[in-house]
Amino acid sequence: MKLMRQPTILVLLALLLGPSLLFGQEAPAPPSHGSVEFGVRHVSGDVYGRPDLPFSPDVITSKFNEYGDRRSGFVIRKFYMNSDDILGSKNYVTLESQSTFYKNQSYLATFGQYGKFKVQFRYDETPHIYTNTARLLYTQTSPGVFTLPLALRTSLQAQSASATPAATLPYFMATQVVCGIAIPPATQPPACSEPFISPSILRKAGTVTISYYVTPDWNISGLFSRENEVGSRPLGLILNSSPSASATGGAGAELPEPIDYFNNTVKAGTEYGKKDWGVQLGYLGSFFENNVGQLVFDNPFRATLETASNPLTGRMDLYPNNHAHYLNFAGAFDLSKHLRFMASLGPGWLSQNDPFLAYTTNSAINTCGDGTQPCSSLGVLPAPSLDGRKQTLAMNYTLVTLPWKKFQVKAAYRLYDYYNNTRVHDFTPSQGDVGLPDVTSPEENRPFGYNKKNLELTANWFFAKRSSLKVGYEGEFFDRSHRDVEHSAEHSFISALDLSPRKDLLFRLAYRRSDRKPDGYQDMAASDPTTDLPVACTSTSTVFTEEQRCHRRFDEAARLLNRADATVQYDVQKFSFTGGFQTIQTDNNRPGGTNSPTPLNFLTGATATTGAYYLYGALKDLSYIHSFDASYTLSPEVSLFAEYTHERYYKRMISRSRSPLSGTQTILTCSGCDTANNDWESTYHDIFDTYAAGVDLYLGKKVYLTPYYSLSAGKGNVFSSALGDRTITTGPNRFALTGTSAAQNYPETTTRIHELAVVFKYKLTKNLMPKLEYRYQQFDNKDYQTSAMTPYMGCIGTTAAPVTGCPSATANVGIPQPSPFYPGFVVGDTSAARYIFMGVDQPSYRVHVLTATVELHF
Amino acid sequence: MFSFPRKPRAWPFLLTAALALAASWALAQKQPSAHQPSSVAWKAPAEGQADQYVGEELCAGCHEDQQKRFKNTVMGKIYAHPRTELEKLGCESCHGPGKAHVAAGGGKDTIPLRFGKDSNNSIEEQNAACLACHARGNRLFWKASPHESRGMACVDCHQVKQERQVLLSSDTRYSAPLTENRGVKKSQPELCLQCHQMRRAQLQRSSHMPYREGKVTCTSCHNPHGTPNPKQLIQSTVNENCLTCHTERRGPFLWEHPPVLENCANCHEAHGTNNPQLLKVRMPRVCDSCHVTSRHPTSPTLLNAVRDFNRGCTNCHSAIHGSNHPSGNMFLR
Repeated sequence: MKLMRQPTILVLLALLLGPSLLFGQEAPAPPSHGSVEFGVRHVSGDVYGRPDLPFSPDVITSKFNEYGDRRSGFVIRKFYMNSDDILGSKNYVTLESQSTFYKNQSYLATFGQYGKFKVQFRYDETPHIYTNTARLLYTQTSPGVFTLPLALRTSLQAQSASATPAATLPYFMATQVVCGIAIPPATQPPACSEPFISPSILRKAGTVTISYYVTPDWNISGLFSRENEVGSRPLGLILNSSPSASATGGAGAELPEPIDYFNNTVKAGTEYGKKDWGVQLGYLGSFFENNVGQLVFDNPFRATLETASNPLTGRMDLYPNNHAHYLNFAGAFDLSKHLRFMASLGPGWLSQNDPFLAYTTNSAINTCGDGTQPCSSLGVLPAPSLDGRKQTLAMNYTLVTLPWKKFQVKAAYRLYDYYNNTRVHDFTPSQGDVGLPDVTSPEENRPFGYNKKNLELTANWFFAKRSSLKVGYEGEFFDRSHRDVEHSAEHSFISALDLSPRKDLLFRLAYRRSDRKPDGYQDMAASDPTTDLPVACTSTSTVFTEEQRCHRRFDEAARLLNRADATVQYDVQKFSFTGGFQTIQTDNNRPGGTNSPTPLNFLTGATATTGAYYLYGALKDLSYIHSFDASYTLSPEVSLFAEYTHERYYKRMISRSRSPLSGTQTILTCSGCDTANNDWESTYHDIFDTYAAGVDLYLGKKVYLTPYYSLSAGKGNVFSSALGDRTITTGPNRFALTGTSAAQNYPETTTRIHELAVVFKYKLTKNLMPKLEYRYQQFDNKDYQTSAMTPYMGCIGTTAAPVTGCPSATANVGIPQPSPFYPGFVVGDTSAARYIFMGVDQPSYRVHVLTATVELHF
Repeated sequence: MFSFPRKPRAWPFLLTAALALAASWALAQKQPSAHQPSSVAWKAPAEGQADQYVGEELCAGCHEDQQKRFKNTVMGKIYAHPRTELEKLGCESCHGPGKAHVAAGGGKDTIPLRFGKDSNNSIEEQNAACLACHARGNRLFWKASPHESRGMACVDCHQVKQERQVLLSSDTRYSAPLTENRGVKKSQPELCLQCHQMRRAQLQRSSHMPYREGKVTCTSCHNPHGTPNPKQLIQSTVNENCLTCHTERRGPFLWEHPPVLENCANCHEAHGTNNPQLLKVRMPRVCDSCHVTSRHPTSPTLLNAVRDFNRGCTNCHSAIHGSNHPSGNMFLR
């Protein structure tokens, strides 16, 4: 839709509201068959907080429209129409729409006969803008093929061949590629004409649903949906296994992953039942098609002479087509007056059989197959495709009974089986189109699968109206294949008390305690590299294992979970209040069992006793949430509301810095390669405050007015610190967390979303209501991970050739320098020196939206 | 330096709980029992009370406004062409036989079944009237579902005769997908957020799915009437639910990342976060908490490292949800 000029919109706005206010008269309204709200919208605002960018991102493509399409112009905000008894029949039709003609438009059309049949058409569009600060050097010559101008690649290849690429490449990028004020237009390289891009996708989905009551007790239904998702989203790609400047051939590029998906869904079902029982049978088929199966991109630092360690291109396999089929049988039966049995059974089949790509596009790698064959050939693969097959099975059985008048007892059993029937093959991967495959130690794909059983037994005592006491037990029994824990059991005690001492007052307290214990814990990679025998956490073996022997993954590890909720609700005619508190506390740091029985801390004494840890990985996950909301109806004309939520989240994890040893060394002879003296902790701390308050006024039976304000404010911190003894500089416990391995606190991230809105609606007649809405939205974003990103690299400059807005550095721009726009952030990472970023960020914005509409009922 | 917080003291929580319990226990005696029969028991006509019904016309004689409103509802339109014996009873199909009410000359207490907070009927009685017709469909697992076992009444969320009054502030603040369901007191997500306050806060966060924009709503994933699945999810598992829309991540893949295929919620918080990609913990820590290998993830990572800024670990391991590339075992391809 073409954007309208601002003055035109303002004139339209005045024309729209003026006459209706002047000439509108109260008149008796005929019965309403529908309504439409239409008018004009004016959007203005700016993106701010990124003075380092050599351009101003457009507010329309900013996060303001992340999932929306709010532009200036004519709008049909809502439309609704209903017509019953069409042409004297019993049939009806309804039509609805939202945001007509915009990228977030929705339509719903229903035709049917109440209680007999229904045919429904739905069409929805959902945009998703990822960023509007990105820039791309590459050109997409055909779907999924990204090329870089040869001249640029040749220049970059020459730069990367220099003795100190980490220093020179950022300089080259900053002075020759990044276009800004620093480079006079006359001397700008061709790349300066490259447009800024806004990776975004648009989902367009059309659905038709049919439902028919053969009899009041028997219903059949069907659905067909086809969704198309088109666009692009940022994707990280590397050559070699690292983009580090020190890695031969290591390079990276961020590119817009082309998206062109179709997803077809078919559903069919039937249901039959009487008052005391019902059965359902259903089928769901989902068919995913990706029209762009691979992404090929030029190596930005290599233009000619492909070698095994320096490929000319890289290739990424994009998501393969897949199919899923599910059946569902469900039934519920009143076996007696006080006994109900409910069950469901749902098998599913997942499959995928897209042809494999070759190991690499690099024609210089010839160590596949028999060890001498080209890895770019499909013939060296163990199979032409995966023929991946999985079968799922969900079974639920629930029995509910009222053994006594006020008691309800529930027993439920649930089984979910995820069975992986995919064949296992041996592969010899080439990492990042550079790595040399080793046919002597192939990699096997692992068909992960699991089986989960849940048992629930609960009893409810309804001792008064809206008052009940619930106690119960829940057990979860988890079996996994090819994972660290083969079997675990979690036992939970649950309780809840609802008390309603008065009809307008309700208290609720709930508590849950869960204890999960694995039978054993053994990471397959925590094994002796010579014998392949597992190395347990308590083992005294001094071998260097690939994974740390005492690390525990939080989703499998032993844990204790406590959850408590308290809520009070008070609701009288004019006033309502709800207040609540919730805490969830997960503790993985438990001695013994599958964890270490003794603290793993290197330091002893107070540091070990107050902060002892018995595993590596996530130790704690705590949350505390306080919330309340209140509304007060002062009179039929005035009502107020206020809401507040305060949330605090804490997480703590322990890790260890480890470096591989070589030769015949052990962890006792390798000088700090695997020692508790290099343990470090990281804590994660998030705080959120969410406020909203407003008034609804209805004055003189004519005027509706509502002002409200809301704020969602969040800040997050990631703190890290070393836990060992820094004074040990030699020997097996050498402290190594220094320099580029040092623990460092990250800058605070903050986001704030303010919204202030004032809406005025005037009831000109019963059927005609002009409406004026002003909305101010402000998004403040400060994120150390993205706020300093500029196209191609961070903010880099040199004394000799400064880039406007960047700090002056010494000739060696590889030395990190703080960004003036994000205190604490440093750029110029030598590890990322050969990674070309797009500069993805979602900067802060301020937007004013003025909308004038008329709500017409007909 | 940040120090890890102490656990909050338990006594304020316990004291509040004890006081609430004590106060409520005493006051609760004044309330009718959950299963206390009302003054006139409601029974379906098949249960032998046919002579107690007076017919819809008689009801409309006094309750004309209500009848007019009812006729404009979907239920009213179905009742205009009744399909069952129950539907033929009109008002009395839900409110029970009206003979005693008529004989008494009106009065709330003589209506066998009334709905809402002022009703003397138990929640079970009120819900039973609705379930007489609505026991199937997505209510098949209502019994003993979380909302049922909390004593929620159908009319806590649904309304039959009232025309929904949408506050101007609600209309401005919340968006919902198009629906023909007008039988709820408020639109989603506002209806659900009245009680689920924490979710209301989460939906306001910077990293979110399009809830605020009205493209996804609570019932896109959950069925509040109960399902046999965890968290009242519509699909059997969290992953099946997520993969309904994110079908490209469904696989099977050649190289799979086990926590991904077991539970998307291991790493993502679907209701909203302030971290990119709805991550529970931002990169690289979300990866660090599981990977203590001999390679790069094990050092604390400087702020300026490529493993930290921008897309973090997925600057390189971008196929983290699974790869079908023969060289994708490290999720680089």
